[in-house]
Amino acid sequence: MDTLTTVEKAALLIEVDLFQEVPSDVLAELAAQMEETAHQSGDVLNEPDSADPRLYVVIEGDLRLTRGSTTLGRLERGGAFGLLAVLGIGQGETATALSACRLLSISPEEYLDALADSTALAIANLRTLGRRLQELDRQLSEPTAARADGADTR
Amino acid sequence: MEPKPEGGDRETRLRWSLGVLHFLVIAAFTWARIVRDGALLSRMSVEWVPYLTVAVLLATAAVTPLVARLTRHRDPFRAFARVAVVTGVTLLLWELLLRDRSSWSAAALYVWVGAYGPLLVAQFWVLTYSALDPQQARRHIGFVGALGILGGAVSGLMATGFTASLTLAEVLGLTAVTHLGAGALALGLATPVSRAQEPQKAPDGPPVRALTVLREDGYARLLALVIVLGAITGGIVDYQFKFALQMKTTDAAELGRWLGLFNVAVSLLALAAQVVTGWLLTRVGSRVLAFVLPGGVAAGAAVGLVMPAIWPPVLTRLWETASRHSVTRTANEFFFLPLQGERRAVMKHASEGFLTRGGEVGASLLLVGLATLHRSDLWHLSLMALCVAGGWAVVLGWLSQAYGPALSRSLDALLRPGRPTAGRDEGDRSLAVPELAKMLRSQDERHVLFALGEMMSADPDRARREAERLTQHRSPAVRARARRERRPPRSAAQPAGEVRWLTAHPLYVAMKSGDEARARAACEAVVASRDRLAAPVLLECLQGATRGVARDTLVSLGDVVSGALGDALADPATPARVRRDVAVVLGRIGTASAVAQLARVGRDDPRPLQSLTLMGMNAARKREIAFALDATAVRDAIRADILELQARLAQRAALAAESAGTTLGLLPRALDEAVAHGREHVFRRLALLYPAREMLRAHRGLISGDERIGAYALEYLEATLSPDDREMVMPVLRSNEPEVPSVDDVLQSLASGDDVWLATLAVHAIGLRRATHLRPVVHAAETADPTRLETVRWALARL
Repeated sequence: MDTLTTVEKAALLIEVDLFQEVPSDVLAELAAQMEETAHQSGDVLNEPDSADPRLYVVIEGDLRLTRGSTTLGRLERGGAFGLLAVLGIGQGETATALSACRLLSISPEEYLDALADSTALAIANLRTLGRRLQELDRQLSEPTAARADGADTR
Repeated sequence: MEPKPEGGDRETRLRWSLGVLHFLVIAAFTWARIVRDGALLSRMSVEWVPYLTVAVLLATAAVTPLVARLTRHRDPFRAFARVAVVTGVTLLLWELLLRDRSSWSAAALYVWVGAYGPLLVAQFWVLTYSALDPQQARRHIGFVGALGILGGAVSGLMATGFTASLTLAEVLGLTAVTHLGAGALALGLATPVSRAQEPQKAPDGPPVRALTVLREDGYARLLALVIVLGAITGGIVDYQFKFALQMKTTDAAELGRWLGLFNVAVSLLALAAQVVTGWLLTRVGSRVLAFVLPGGVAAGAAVGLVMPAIWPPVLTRLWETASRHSVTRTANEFFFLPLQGERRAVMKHASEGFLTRGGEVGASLLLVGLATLHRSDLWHLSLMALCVAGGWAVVLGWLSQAYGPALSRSLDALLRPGRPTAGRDEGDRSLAVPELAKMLRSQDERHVLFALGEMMSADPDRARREAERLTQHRSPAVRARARRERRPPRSAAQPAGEVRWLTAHPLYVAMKSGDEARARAACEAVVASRDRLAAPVLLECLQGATRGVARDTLVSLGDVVSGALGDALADPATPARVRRDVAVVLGRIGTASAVAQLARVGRDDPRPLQSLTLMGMNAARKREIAFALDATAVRDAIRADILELQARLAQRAALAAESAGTTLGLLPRALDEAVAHGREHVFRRLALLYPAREMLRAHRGLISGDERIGAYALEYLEATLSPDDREMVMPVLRSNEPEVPSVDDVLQSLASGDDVWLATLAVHAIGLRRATHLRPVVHAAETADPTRLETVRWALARL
């Protein structure tokens, strides 16, 4: 299968909640830094103590996100994970491929450089994290409420 | 904000409703004044007028709170209806009193009409401005005003005819009926219009008082002074007119006919003036139009000095009344726009109430003084009118200058509804600073932090002095903030000492060693020695792990390296990311010479870089750093930005018309971003020529998505921009109907354009659509930019 062009990668990034408010030219610069990789079913990505943490975005395929023995959710096209890891905050989740999948990924150094370059990107990330905090707060105050799943981008 | 289309059925209905209501209000008031003046001049000497004016003031002072009580917590239509009905009923009672031909009943009617009449008119205008936003006001206020003037002309003509068959008292009865009709009409309009307009909810707090507004808001004080001086001038001109009229006749019927004809003449002149008011407003703006009245009065008074006869005072009064009811009323209404919500209603009432009455009493005192000196003749009255009109014009000039900034503060209040009032913002610092100083003594640390922050913007020197004391404050947060504020502003760096090139090389080694402590120590050494030759090394390190340290070190070196940074910024060969970092660093250095380097980025440079440099320069302007700037070059850049913005709007409209949006990829979104950027650049460049904070606020208002706030932003621009700049900028901000090219033309134009990202996406869209007829365009789009090159190859493969 053909690899994505930078423009196609940018178009995919717009589907990710982390990047929806980011200008397209900034996304293109970010996309140009991102590496496209293929994985087989059962491959484990971003383990808690990974020496090479990265931010991943799913191009195609399914992944499962777990913490210990607890399943936190599933990720499909446009799903992203590893943000906390690239920001230098330890992450307790493990992502496992459920099928053959293709992913885009970026290293912490490159991502932090992109953040330093673009306030729009930084603000978009802050907003996403803020929304997640609100959601978490809502879940804590309404213990019976159903938990969101699917587009988890931890 | 997308500009709002003009007109519409609802707007047309509103325009006519307001016009008819104004017609009735002015017709009723004209009859009341004719009866009032006719009864007075036929029964009493004109020399009583100054004393009666004092009585009018007292009556107004008594009536104003009653009107406020009648109207509070009601939508403006219902409030107006209540005032109209109540005053109509009182006029029916006055009709009975006036049948007795005593002097006191004429005097009492004079006082009552003087007290309620202007308040009713003011209530009508409160209603009108609550129903229209500033842009609608610009479109319809001329029409509404014209129907009011027509009401004056028709009622004047009718009064001239009535006086042959009806007594003055009976004319007053007709006036009362008209009041009741106007009230009923307003009530009928109240529900539909209120529902459509969703007027602001009445505040639940304590009522705002005019004196509070005047104490807190410097702009309101200036406005009040203009109103008072206008009223003094009006009072003198009115007395002069009555003096001349009584010299001619004292017969009631004759006076009635005379006053009727005079009102017809006034109305016709006002109507003619009103017809051109809309055009004049567009051409010269409200602030220039406001000078028509004092200018005309001064000219009439000057003629009266040369020719002290009956006609100059009559003509001056004619001019004064006609323009007060047409051009000047329209122009003056705009001066109330910076006051929001209840504050505006309060000031309108104060304007028509105690401020105008106070001015008239001031005029009375002057007239009594003149009479005491035995100088109460036409020549001395003209001299007095000339002097007062001159003073009025001067203060009006001050108000005109304060209008734009006040409007911007009002916009700020709209954009940040949490702020307590618009009047306590930076435009009124002379008032605010002493109050902030008091606030710094507060026991509440939040008050202290707020006051210190505000004072840093208003009076940094005073704030630093206060911060010295606050370093001993019991609150750690206040102590920390005070220590920060106490630091002196960054000064220009000292000239560098000897060249120590060798130091630069060890710096590079330290930066690249991977040891952060070593890198920081090396940077501190460079800063301590103010080594300008460290700049190239630090520029090399603007990436990866050393990027943050390198940026901070360049900022600390300040002006020592600003020249070298400017060279790197202006050099297209410098990597894009480094250029953007350099722009940020120069902005953070923030000295005049560093900011001047930012101006080396031109319109041909990448859009993100232009944004960063403009942001840096805007920040410097907000801090009032004076740096060299070529205003002509800035205007040229604005003109080019406008042209580009127009093109982008047209291109976006063309793509929006294309139904198969998926075959255009990211292009529509990128064009939206380009439009937003283009508009922002126009405002950021305008912020280099005009007050930066206010101009950027206007931009925020315009993109807020709120039509009302957007209308205020446009009104601010109308009031602030020079005529040339207005002509250049306003059309593209207002128009939303560009000439739409075909999609193929758009793709062709973008693919061969200067904007690399848009060109890339246009090529991508051509590939997506498999538009083989555009293959030559794709071939021609090949460049060195890797993303564009990759896209060209991808598109050619698909074609």
